[in-house]
Amino acid sequence: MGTWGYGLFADDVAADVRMMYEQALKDGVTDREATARVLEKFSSHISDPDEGPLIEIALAVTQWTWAVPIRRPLPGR
Amino acid sequence: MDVGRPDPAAIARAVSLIDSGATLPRWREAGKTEAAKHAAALAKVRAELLQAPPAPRVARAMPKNPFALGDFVEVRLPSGKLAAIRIVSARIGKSAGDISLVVMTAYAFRGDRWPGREGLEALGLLKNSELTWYDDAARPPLVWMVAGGRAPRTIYNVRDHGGDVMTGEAVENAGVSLWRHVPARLEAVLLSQGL
Repeated sequence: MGTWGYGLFADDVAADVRMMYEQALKDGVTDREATARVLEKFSSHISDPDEGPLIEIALAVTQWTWAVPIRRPLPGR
Repeated sequence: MDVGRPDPAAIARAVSLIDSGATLPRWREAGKTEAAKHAAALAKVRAELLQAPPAPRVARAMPKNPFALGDFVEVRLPSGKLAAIRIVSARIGKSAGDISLVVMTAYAFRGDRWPGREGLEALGLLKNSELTWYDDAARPPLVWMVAGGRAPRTIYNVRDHGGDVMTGEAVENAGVSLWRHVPARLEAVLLSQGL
């Protein structure tokens, strides 16, 4: 895990979550598919005590920013 | 695209994680000051999440590559004159972190009238120049490269301004986010070579 500041997205995991989600939207997929892509990509990290919370918070904030709803629950939560 | 308000449960979950300090343990290892700064940053995120979300935005699609492999492209330079390039390769990465790039050869031409394909081939390629633009603001990163006078040995290894060699998988179809920088840079090189 790499960080370059104190903010949420100054962490490469959180930044990757946001980047992947936004890129998916730019590819023209729905928010549902964008969420699915992120969850699939980070599925092996979601239970990690350090990375899991970051992933959930980053995804919620990104979706809040884009004003799209989370359509399915995170696995293992 | 589905749009609407974020799921209140997801927001509540994120707020709960922030309140519980779930992200703090590794920051505490770095020190109390660092942990406090991180907590303050997340407090701002928390406050934001509890506000009404911004108006729904529409994601701007990555522009399609307007160029085909082998195209001769007329470039209008800042001076108003014309230059000419040929597309050697145009690729864009599909996954996060992939490198995207457009490779162009530039011709030794700067003039007022388009010389045509035969005219360009008679003029020949711009010699002794290799320019690379690396757009680190683009996602995925986008590289425009003019390989003057010679074809690049491989498009998967390009050198950025920092001297790092970047590698990455690539597929056809390039974005054009940095195209706006090409004319000015190209004209500077043409002028430096007396054209």
